[in-house]
Amino acid sequence: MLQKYIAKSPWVFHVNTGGCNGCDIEILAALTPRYDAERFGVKLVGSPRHADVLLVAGPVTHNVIEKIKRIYEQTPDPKLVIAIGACSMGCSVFQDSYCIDGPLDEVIPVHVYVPGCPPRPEAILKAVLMGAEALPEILKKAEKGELPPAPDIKEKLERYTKYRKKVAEEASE
Amino acid sequence: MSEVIRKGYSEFVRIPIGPIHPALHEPYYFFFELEGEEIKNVWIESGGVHRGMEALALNRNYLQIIPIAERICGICSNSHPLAYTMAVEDAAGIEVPERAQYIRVIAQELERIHSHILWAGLGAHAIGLDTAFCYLWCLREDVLDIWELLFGGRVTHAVNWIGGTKKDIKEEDIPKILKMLKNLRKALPEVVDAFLYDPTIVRRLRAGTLTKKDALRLSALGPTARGSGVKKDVRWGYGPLAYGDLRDDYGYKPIIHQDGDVYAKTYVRLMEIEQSIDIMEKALDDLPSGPYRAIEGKTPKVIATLKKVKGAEGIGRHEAPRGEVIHYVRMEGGEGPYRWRPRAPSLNNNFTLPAMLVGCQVADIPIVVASIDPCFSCTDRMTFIDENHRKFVLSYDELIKISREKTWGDA
Amino acid sequence: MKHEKLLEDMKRILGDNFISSYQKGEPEAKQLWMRIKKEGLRDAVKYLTSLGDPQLSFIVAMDLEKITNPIVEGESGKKLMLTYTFTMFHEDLGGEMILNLVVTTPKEDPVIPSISDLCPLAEVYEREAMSIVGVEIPGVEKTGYGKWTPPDFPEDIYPLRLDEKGLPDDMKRRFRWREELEKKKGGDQNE
Repeated sequence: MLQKYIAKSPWVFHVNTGGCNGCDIEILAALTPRYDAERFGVKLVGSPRHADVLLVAGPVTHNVIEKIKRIYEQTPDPKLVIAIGACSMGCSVFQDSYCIDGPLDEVIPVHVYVPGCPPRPEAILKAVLMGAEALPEILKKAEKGELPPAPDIKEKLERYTKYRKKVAEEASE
Repeated sequence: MSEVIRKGYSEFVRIPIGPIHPALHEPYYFFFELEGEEIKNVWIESGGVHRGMEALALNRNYLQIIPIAERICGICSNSHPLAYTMAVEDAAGIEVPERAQYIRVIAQELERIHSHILWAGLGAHAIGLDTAFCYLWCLREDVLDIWELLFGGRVTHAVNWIGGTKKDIKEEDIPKILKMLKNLRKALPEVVDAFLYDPTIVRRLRAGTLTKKDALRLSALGPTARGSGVKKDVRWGYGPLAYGDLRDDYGYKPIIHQDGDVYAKTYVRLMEIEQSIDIMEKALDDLPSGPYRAIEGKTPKVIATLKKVKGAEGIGRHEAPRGEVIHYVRMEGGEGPYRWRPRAPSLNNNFTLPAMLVGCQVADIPIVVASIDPCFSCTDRMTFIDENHRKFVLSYDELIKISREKTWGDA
Repeated sequence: MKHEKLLEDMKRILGDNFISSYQKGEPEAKQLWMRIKKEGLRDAVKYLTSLGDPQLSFIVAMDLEKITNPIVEGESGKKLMLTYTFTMFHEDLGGEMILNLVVTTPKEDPVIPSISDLCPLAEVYEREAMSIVGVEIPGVEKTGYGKWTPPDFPEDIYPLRLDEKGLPDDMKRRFRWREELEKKKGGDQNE
């Protein structure tokens, strides 16, 4: 029942996980008259608790990893996660950096990927609609337990702590 | 953080804003200390979008840094690579051909137009003027079409190359650019009218004053400084690229306003759109012929040329939409720079926020923060803590709602 | 000439603490690069702020460990370098100038005086320099606006140091598939 309505009017919340802002202005551009997302019932909301779809852009910096996990948990089920742009798909130019914990699918489950740096507003719009339409299938899979479980980020969170311990141990020896 | 400071009969309430609310770029962490509705003190913390770029650049060559520089900020995506290439050219002593300098000026002014329109739209959104927001973003799409036509990208353009530009401007594209500029010039007066003469909006824009003395002391940059009467514009003062020639030929001057509040900054930005349209028309008119790259040949040739430069330091500096962008490059004869240090104008401007926000009301936060043009979704999510240490969250929407209620009443 | 007067004044104020200088741009200097000793830093900045006009643009922190072609003699080896960039003469269209004050300090004694009381913005860049190359600036807090590295970042590692205090190899993040590829390669060699 609910899924039917979500497909008619997906409410999106957009999250930047430390990207360059390019994807974010394209998401905003998709809402303005030229692309007019509202004709499909797509609406940008101000809180993850009201959202059906999370649009996530950026390479997931170490500082935001816990927050992005929390936002994912705050979003009510059924929910969709759309990874926008090359950064959230594979960290793009930042992939070797010490401060990056991405890509996004190692932190939260992702359903739709939108390639491009940044993707065009049309692509973002299409991804939202495609995702919303595919939602019943995703839910069925989830009920049967066929979807992979949420990734474990404990190791990533411990990344710096490990070094701090190591340094402390070396100092004490 | 959670303690309540007592001062006489009143209580200060502390509000953290942020932290890294991951919405748009620069997710800073603001702490506000309130007395009733009035802001008494502000702190800023940072680090949400730290991506370790400078450390990353240690393992990149000179040309690989250009795309990294482009992705420092998606809105200034021409300013950073331009400043970086200028820094390398300054260190290596490469003379940039005149045509390339003009193309860079055109690209830079195009970016200023698009960025200021974007700012005006977001500013209008923050005070509840959604019609203006949609109208302005519609105008911006025309500018993006020209970006796409000239350089092939809406947001990331890849204009710059060391010693010149990556692409040339074709003769047949020039009429299309001029047509867009003409349309824009026609559409602007309506926006200027709304922002500068509508009494409701003007009343909302009279907030967040930065005095000239503070602007100088805190090293404010760009429209933030010029709105406070500081006559500082890198284009006309320092004269990088072809700006020096354009200034001497047509007598351009920095646009300043003495008031120092949000209104003054709005005035500076809107007038700068007009000035930029003018500059672009003049630059397209004066576009000299000739080569557009100093170093002939592709990547290996450029790297080989730059590899010969040892023990040199250079600074690239020009005016981005938000203020002065400055990059430092140290060359030591490797494939890449020994040290590359970018600095965006928002870093300096955010430091002036406390001076502006103290004395304002909570409802003024969105527009005052927006007035320096950071990507203001750093105010996206605020947690209010009242004196009983109960947390309640004020989302960006609610904040905007408060702000709008101040404009329109209980609409 | 403005820059000549500035140079003379600086030499007079700094005395022995002045090392050398060069300019870029002829005849009027666009950039002035000035090497000074760290003892004279505060005097120089005090003089600049008294002019009223100069603004701090940024501070560049750098490790000189791998420098092979020093610009000034002795500017290499186990030392850290800070470049303070000021811009001045904004009101003069066409005559704006950059002044760079370059200060070095040995790594055994990485203490550089703070100028944040003279120029408030400097605090941000000083904090950054402390967190990325490990300079010690007394009187500046380690956390706050300007510290970019994550709060749980190890205290003894400075990302832009090029010696043993820099990033360890295994902390530089690798792409997942590449890691797997390397594992596979290693496995093949073992077999």
